[in-house]
Amino acid sequence: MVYNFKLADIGEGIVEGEVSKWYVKVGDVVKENQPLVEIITEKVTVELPSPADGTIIKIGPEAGKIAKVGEVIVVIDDGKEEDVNKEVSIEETKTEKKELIKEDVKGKKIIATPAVKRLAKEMGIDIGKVVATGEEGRITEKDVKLYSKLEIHSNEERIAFRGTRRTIAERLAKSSDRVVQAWIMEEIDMTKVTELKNKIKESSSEEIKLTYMPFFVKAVIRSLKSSPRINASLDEETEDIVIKKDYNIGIATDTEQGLVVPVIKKAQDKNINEIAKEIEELSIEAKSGKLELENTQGGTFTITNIGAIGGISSIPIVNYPEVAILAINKIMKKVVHWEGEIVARDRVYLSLSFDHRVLDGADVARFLNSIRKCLEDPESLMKDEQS
Amino acid sequence: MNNLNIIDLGLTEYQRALEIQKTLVKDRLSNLTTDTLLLVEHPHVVTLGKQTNPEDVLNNSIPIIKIDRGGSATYHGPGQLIGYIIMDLKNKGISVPVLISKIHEIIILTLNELGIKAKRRKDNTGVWIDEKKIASIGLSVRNWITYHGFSLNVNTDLEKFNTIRPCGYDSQVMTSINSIKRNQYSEELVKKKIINNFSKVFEYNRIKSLGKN
Repeated sequence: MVYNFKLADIGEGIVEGEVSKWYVKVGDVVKENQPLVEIITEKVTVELPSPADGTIIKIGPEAGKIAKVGEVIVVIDDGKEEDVNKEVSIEETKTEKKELIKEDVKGKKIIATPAVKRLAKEMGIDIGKVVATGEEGRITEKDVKLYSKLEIHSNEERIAFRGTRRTIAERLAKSSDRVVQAWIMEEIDMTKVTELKNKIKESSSEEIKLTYMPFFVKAVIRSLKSSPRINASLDEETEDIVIKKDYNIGIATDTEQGLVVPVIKKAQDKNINEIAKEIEELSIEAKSGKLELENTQGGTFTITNIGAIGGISSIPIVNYPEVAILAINKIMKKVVHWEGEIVARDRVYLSLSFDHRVLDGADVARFLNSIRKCLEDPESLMKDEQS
Repeated sequence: MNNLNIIDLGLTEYQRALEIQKTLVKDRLSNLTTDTLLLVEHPHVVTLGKQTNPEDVLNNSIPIIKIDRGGSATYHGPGQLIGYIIMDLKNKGISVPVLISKIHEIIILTLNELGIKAKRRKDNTGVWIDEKKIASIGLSVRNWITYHGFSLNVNTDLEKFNTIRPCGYDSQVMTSINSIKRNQYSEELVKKKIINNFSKVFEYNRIKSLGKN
């Protein structure tokens, strides 16, 4: 049986190259994987191994010439009789079809290299059932391997672990690997924030989407100012605690691809409306996958508002190399003892995870106390704006 | 198998490092070892790849060796971080162009982490800072196992490029990390970052450090 091998078939991914040396000549008997020819392609010399056992009938461009993709560079005869039970045809180069073996199995054309067919046979797979993803319906090695997995677990779905999901995983694993995570929780009264939020909304001439988040951002910045070691990172290479002078607040955002954290840069210079607007814009960009890389970098502290979706309490993972992260849980009406009376008020649990290598429990307890004071007197946060 | 061995050879003669690579290629082919990243520095040497134009060698004040990688003339010496890559492309499931692209990516990521904005050029392999070249790439592939790799100028004595026309360019084209960053970074730090980005970009999940490191 005679095989025509083209550059693309054996020189995976190689589209064009200069033939620098032939190791074989017409009439030579070669073994599979024996080097046939050396091709030089931009900065890489590649020795192409023989794809089959057999005798060289013809070789392609001579040394010094350029070999192009699709060009037949070697013709090998394996000396075997053609199998009469299978309808095997080798297309001539003119038709520009892949020089692969085509078989008619139950009326379906099978296109696969001998290696892939051998693999399927070894794995006990009926190659006729494998779905081809290669060019022009060619069955690749990956297709066969995937099929073998699907065959065993047909009630499972496999999703490639790539892209955003993989980035999230790597970052979390790094955090879990390096950071000594510790946790503290506080219950805070949000009634006054709710009232103020509604007041601003009513009095505002602009149509703004004011959520609780800008108030948390404001309270966090005010509190970080009195606890500078929380707005920091640990540089393990130089062994420094790096105190950040800007307050770049990351907002954990849920998107279809998974969690992304857009960053409000220099949030200390922005008023509550500006913060609200920026959060909304970044969130839209994040959800539509249009977030610029620079808007996800340079964060100094992260807030995650898991409670907006649900959950009365949670333990967030520090967004390494930052040293602390604040989770806002579900804001809910609760009956409490407030100023001498039993009343229903808006309450929320705030949970803070921190890197215990850099911070101690007392540091973060003071920080949470400060946040509580700010949020229980939100007018004071607004005063910030005039000053 | 998605394991990577990292061998830090330190200062090693060019020929010795080449022998080690060839042994590793053989061992990789017979599956005696995993993919390997060899990190090394060479004493002063000029190597000529297969595409070298004889006019690119200006004088022979530095020992010259003709070798079987792609690319043309280059200089190696102390202060230059070299990564030789022994990788089974079939097993890794990547093609030669993807390999080259990923090597670029590793170097660019590393430079970015050091505050240097680097880029690749459409017309030319290697990593560039504006009009200057900071890293070179040249590889060989045998039985789908790679060897040779990349060189990155960290603290390289750039004057030494004067004996050749590196990759056909004027020798002034070369630059180094510490000529841009005023000797801020140690080779050890750059090495660490390279290892980190190499494992990440090529998605190795188990990494074993052998040798000096």
